[in-house]
Amino acid sequence: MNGFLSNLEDSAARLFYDELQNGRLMTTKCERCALVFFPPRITCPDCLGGEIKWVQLSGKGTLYAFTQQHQSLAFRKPTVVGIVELDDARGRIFSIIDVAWEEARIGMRLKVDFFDSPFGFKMHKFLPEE
Amino acid sequence: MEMDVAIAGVGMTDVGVHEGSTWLELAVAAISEAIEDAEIDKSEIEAVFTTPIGYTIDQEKFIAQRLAEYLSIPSRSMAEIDCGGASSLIAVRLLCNEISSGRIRAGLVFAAHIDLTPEKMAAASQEIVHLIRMANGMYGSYDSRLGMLSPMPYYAMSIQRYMHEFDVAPVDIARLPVLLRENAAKNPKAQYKDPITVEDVLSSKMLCPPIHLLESCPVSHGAGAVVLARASDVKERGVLVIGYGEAHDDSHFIPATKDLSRFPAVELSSLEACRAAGISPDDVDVAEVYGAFAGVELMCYEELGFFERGQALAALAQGKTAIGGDVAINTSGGRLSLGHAPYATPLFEIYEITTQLRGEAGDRQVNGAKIGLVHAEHGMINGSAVMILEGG
Ligand SMILES: [Zn+2]
Repeated sequence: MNGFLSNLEDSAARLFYDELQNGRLMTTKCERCALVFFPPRITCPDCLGGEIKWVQLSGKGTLYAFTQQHQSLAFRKPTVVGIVELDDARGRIFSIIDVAWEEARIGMRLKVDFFDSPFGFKMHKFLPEE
Repeated sequence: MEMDVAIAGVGMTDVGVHEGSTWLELAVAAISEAIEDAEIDKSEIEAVFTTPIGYTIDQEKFIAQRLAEYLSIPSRSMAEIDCGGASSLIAVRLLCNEISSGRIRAGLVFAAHIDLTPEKMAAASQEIVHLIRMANGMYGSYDSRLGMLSPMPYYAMSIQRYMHEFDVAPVDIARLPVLLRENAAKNPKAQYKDPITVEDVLSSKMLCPPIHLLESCPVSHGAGAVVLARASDVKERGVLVIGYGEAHDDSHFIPATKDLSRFPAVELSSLEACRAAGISPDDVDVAEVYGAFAGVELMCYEELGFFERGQALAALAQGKTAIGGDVAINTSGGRLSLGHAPYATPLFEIYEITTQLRGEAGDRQVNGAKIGLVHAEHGMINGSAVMILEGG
């Protein structure tokens, strides 16, 4: 199954998934302008500063939008997928929302969790914060 | 803007499933029709511009060169333009620039589109693993890990946000596919012509909620071609290019911070195009809008400036976008019913608007149509191009 997935685009993505295997949701911070942004990159999208530092995210955020996938390699209906606005980084994460479709609401508070994906590596998902 | 460029001729295949046809066969059919329609000799064509031929196929290289050789068209300007769904409209703009610069007198833009069906992709067989990787790779290092093979979830969430912000009911959106199907029934080139009702739309399969099957474009094949020339060289059936606008937001698919319910590139490109043409969106008689899903098509009507924000649904319900309304939108049947072959779609749109402005659209003719608008987008409407055309 993993063989159907495309290559990761940069070293930041590889490091992100390496850290995820240890149960850490990480991203990058620009040392020049102090912006913490998601997803992580090898350069700052604002000032193009190349000096970046890895920081761990709290993994807390708010559900911005959600849907279900009809045709995909995995995480099809009834799995809910959605966009989470992260509390402590500029940017959004597209993830599995581990909530029943009927229970999901725009604006609900979520926190990250990890699970073994069908692609053979650990992935992030989001649960209600409670 | 004095471009002094005219659409001299248009051609397109039927839109649909061309089982057994190659991209080259489809392209030849569309190009032959466009050259004949332009009533010019092939030897007058000095430029050949094209696009890639699909998102998930074994892409043959050097499409423009192959076609020019195949049809024996020597030229002085040649390029393959790739900017996703907006590619062929951007190619038309580049050819307009070539002509207005004075270097070229007449040229050709063609695009053929063939793609894997979503069903074949989702079956994920070993024989097409390289094509599936290609499809998955479109969604970058992060979203791709959710097993993405289609951008539909992005569009679904964009529509969800719009419905959330404007308190929209599903029935409000479901009226659009019904109207587009009525238009398609009058277009011999369209893929879907059988009438449908709002009930049919709402009871059709829920693909990515809130998008129902009948609110989604099909994966179609087809080819389109456009011959452009100096306006002074074109006979009475020529249609003038009077304005163009283009904008690309610094986002691709899900914006980092901006509202998912807005498409700033569409607004900016329409403003630029209308300003260049010296018109207001209210002056447009007939428009082809690149809406791959019913909800986002309606959202684009607002960004293009046809209606105030949040007003497109009411305008649709009041018939303002129908043939005979304030602005007839997607008289071709639109992406939902004409069919959608992304690289070729902008050329299908130019075909429809040119046909309307010439008064040759038959049963779906918009009476007295003089000003037309063509819109195309790429990504999840992260980038947009708008062209304004004027009939003689
Ligand atoms: Zn910076």
